[in-house]
Formats: sequence, structure tokens, C-alpha cells
Amino acid sequence: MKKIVTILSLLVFVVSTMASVFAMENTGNYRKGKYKYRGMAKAAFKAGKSESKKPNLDPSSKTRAQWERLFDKKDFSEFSCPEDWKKLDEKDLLNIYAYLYKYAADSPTPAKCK
Amino acid sequence: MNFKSIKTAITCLSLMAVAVVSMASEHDEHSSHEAKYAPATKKHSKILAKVDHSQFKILKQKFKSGDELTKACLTCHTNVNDDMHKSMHWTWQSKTNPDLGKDSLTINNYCISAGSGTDKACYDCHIGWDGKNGEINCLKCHSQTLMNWQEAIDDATAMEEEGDEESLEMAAEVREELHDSVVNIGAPNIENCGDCHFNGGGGDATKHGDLDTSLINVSKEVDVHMSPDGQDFTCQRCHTTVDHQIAGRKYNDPASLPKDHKSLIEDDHASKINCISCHSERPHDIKRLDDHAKTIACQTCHIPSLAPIYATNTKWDWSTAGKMKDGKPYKEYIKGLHHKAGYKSIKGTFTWKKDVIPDYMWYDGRFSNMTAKDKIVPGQPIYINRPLGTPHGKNSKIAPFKHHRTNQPYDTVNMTLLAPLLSTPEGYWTKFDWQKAFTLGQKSIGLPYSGKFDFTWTDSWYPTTHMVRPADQALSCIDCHAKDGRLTNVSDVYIPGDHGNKYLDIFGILLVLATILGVALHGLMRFIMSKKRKG
Repeated sequence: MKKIVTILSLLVFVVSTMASVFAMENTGNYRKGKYKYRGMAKAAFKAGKSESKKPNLDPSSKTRAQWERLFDKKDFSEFSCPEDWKKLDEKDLLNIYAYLYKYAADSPTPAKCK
Repeated sequence: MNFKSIKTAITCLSLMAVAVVSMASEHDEHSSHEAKYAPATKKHSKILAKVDHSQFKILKQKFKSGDELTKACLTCHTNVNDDMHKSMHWTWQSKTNPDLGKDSLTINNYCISAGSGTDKACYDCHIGWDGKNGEINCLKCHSQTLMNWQEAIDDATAMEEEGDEESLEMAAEVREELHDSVVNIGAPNIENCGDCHFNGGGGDATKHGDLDTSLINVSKEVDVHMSPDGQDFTCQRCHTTVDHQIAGRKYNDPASLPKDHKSLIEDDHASKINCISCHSERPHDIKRLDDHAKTIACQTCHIPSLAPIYATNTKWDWSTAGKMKDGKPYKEYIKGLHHKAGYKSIKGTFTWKKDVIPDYMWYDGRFSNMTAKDKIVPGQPIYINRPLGTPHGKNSKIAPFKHHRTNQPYDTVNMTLLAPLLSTPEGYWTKFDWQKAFTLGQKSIGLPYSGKFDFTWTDSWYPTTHMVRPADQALSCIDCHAKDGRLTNVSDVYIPGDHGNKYLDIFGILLVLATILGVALHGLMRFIMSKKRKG
């Protein structure tokens, strides 16, 4: 009986932890993420590391699953100035992820005529 | 040397001879053609007084909505609202036929229909903040710093409401950027107009072969008028504007008719200007070329190809839309083309072409346009739109057009083309459900849908009038006056060198050969006789 209770408690703990992680992933502030993301591109342009003020990838460049994989692996090589991305704290990354995820190619957000 | 080569050579020789004779006899008569050009015209930006909008307090407020911003503009520009509401940029409807217009029953064979305002993606290009539901967005045409103003207002307002330090800091940055854009005001520049007109059909260079972002800082080799190294025109130099009513073709209404033509020599601000306003009706050194201009539009020779820089869309197949990869929609881009997709799940399959030779047709400035309520006839070609004009028609000339083909949906019971709802959360681009898209799209334009559909090929044409090349790139005689020349498919016109009767051609060649032989024999006889006389 004790064993069952322990296993159940553990299961509840694992499920609730995963749920909270999942919830966190989708509760970043997408607005802050948007301007942080754009700010990264502007900073790279200012530093002469990029040819454009605008980000080289827009949210609809990838599907939600693709953004999820990219942020899971923290592989920012596709962005201009990837070394700057390594300096971002978790909160900024979460916000940026929330923005890219919200407007991903397969998001329910109305697609633009393009 | 075969018969065709001999014929071509003789045609060339004949044309050259005609040209030489014409030049010799007519050059003097027209040698002063330069005097017929309108004198260099001043640009509007230099005529209009420049107002520093950053000095206005009313523009420094924290706008909570686009409508609020426009109301601030209207406190000084008091009569603009009435003017704008009459313009087609607002109504999206033809003045002479209410069925025509993006906000009516017009359909095309690109993104098909704007769904009377329900298709929000199309409405991005409407000049209102929220379609026709509120105020005009003056910034769309007048801000010299383009940005997404609606997004900036919404985000800044939301972040100010969030109230934490980081949000307020970001909001302040957004407000500053917005303010810079709001006060940087002027007459429309090419980027204002191009933001919508270069992206017709859903993207850069998609719909028009003569209007795309390559026109921004374009070289003189591509457009002598718009190039900063050429005339450096703004769009409204030709699309003359009075009380916000912009001159230009509007569906079936011609841009201008000969009766409206006025030379800029007479009036520097003549409305509805066109080629002859500056170049006169006889702009060439050679009379024969000027004579051509009676039946051939200037654009025919002076815009030898479409899409010289960026490829334009020439074919679209909606029937292949909806494919998924790993259950997700995808895009496949074509290497070497400027962001052009060969396939998109949301739209189907595309063909893109660069340096396209236009279709040539008789054109009097009007178009026939199909609407979503017009019936299609099985087995008959479906012309979404078609230039109007006849060989002997008043105002008709042979002009160049971009031809576009599309496999698009139609109602197999009602026999009408269908207008699907594409964007918005319930549209095809999100749900990938044709039935739902047709039901909602047809409802939005007030037309029935039987529930049964299929796809059919349609054709459309778009006039070509921008991207005028330098004179040395214009078509030469042989481009048309040769077998299968440029104008070979134009109806009811005889093109020497191209059209003709085989036996008449043989007779002509024999006649020329006989003449040459006769001259040679005559010369030979005279030579022999003179020798004999001397001997």
C-alpha cells in the first residue's frame, strides 16, 4: 500500500512538474519577446554583424514544432549574431519563444497574404 | 540558304531601304522634335511647402488607437475625410459599375477575392485602420517611415497597462518609433504606393510584371522615368491627384481618353497625363515610326519585356493546395528566384518567369471584368478580365499585357467561380477546409454555394505601362516584321514580313530576283556594247 502511495505521489509530482514547465513555455510574454527579438536584430545591425535591421527569420519561417526544437536545443546558429543569443537569460528566451510560437507558420493566427 | 532565309533577308533589306528613304526625306521635317518635349517639370515635393509635423503638440500624445491618431490629423486637414471617402482607395468599388471592385463581386485569379472585407489579409491594403469600420489611416500614404502602426499602438498601449519597469521601457521605445513615423509626413513616395501596389496578388512582383520593389532606386536601364538617374518621378507625377482622387485605370474605366489628353507644355499640372503629355504625338525622328504610333501603343515597343529583375507569377494551381508534411503546412522555395515559392500548402503550385515577352492585344483603355455572379460555360475559355479594343475601334491600339493562368475553384452546380475565405482563423489558410472556406467566402459576398466544387483554368491580363526602358532597348522593326514576330497573334492586322500569302511572297521574291537579273543583264549589255564601240 505504501509503495502504491509513493508511486502515485511521484507520478503526481512528475506530471505536475512537467505541466508547469509546459505552461511556462507557453506563458512567456510574447509582446516583450517581440521587441527583444527585434532589438537583437537591431543590435546586430548596429554592431555591423548583420546587413539588415530586421530579423532574418520571422515567426512564420518555421512551424511551432520547429521553433520548439530550436529552443529545446538552444541552437541559435540560424539567427544573425548567434553569440549574442547565448548571453540572453532564460526569461528573455522564454519571451522570444512565446512570440515566435504564437505567430508560427501553423499557428491559428491569421496568415498574412504572402 | 533556304526560302525562309531569303525571305527574311529580303524583308530586312526592304525595311532598311524604307527606313533610309524615310529618314532622308523626313528627318528635316522632324529634326526639331526635342522642342516638342515638355520642359523639365518641377516635382511636387519641391513645390509644396514642407511642414514640420514634429512641432504639433497634438501629434505628441500617446495614441490609444489608430482612429484617435487620424482624428488628430483631421483637426488641421479638415476636408480630407470627405475626399477620401469618395476615392477608390477607400470604396474599393468602381464608380460606374457597383459590381466591380475588391469590396464588391470582382474576382481575380490570384488570391481570388477580398470577400467584401471579411478576408482580413487583403484588407491590410485598405486605407482604413480597420477596413471601412473606422477612420482612414493617413500614414499609409503619407508617412515617410513605414511601419506597422496598428501593432505599435496596440503593443505600446498593452505594455503601458502591464506597467512593470521593463514593459514601460519597451513601450517608451515603441512610442518613440511611432512618433517619428507619425511626424515624418510628406507627399506619397514610391514606397508608400509600392507597399500595396508592388505586392498585388500576395507578394512582391506576383500580380504585375511591371510593378515590384525593384522600382525602388531602380536603374535607368529598367525604368527611365522612375530611376533617380533618369527622370526620378514620383508615382503621382503621372497619376495626377486632385482632392485625393488619383488618376489611373479603374477596372472598366480607362486611365484617360484622347479627349482628356493635354500636353504638359500647355499645363504643367494637366490631369491624367500619359506618354504624349510629355513626348507629344510625334516623338520620333522618323515619320514612319510616328505613323506606327497611331496604331501601336508606346508601351508596345518601349517595354520590351516584363519582370526584368524579379520573376513574376505566370501560373497558379489552387487545386494542389492543402498538402502537408508531417501533418503540417509547408512552403518550397525555388532556388535562384527572389523569395519565390514553387509550392505553398496554403496556395498551391506556382510558376514564375523573368523577362517575360508580353501578350499583345487591341486595347482602348477599357477592360471587361468577370464577377463572382457571372456564369461560366463548360468548354469555353474563362476570361477573368480581358482588354477591350478592336482594330478599327475608337482609341484602340495594340498594347502589351501580362497574361496569367490559374486553376481555380468553381461551383459545379451554380456554374460560377468561387470566392473562398482564405485568411482569418476560420479561413482556408488556417483550417485547410475548402467546404468551409467556400461557404464562408460566398456568404461574405452574398452569393450561394451549392456544396459541390471542382477546379477550372482561367485567364487574365494586366496592362503593362511601367518599366519603360531607354530608347536603345526599344523593339526594332525586325522584332515584329519577321515570321512569328511579336505581333503575330494580334487579330485583324496585316504585319508585313510576318503575315502574308505564300504564293504572293514567292511572286514578290521572283519579281525582286527578276529585277536584279534585269539590272545586271542591262549593265552587262551596256558594258559589252561600250567595249564594242571602243573596239
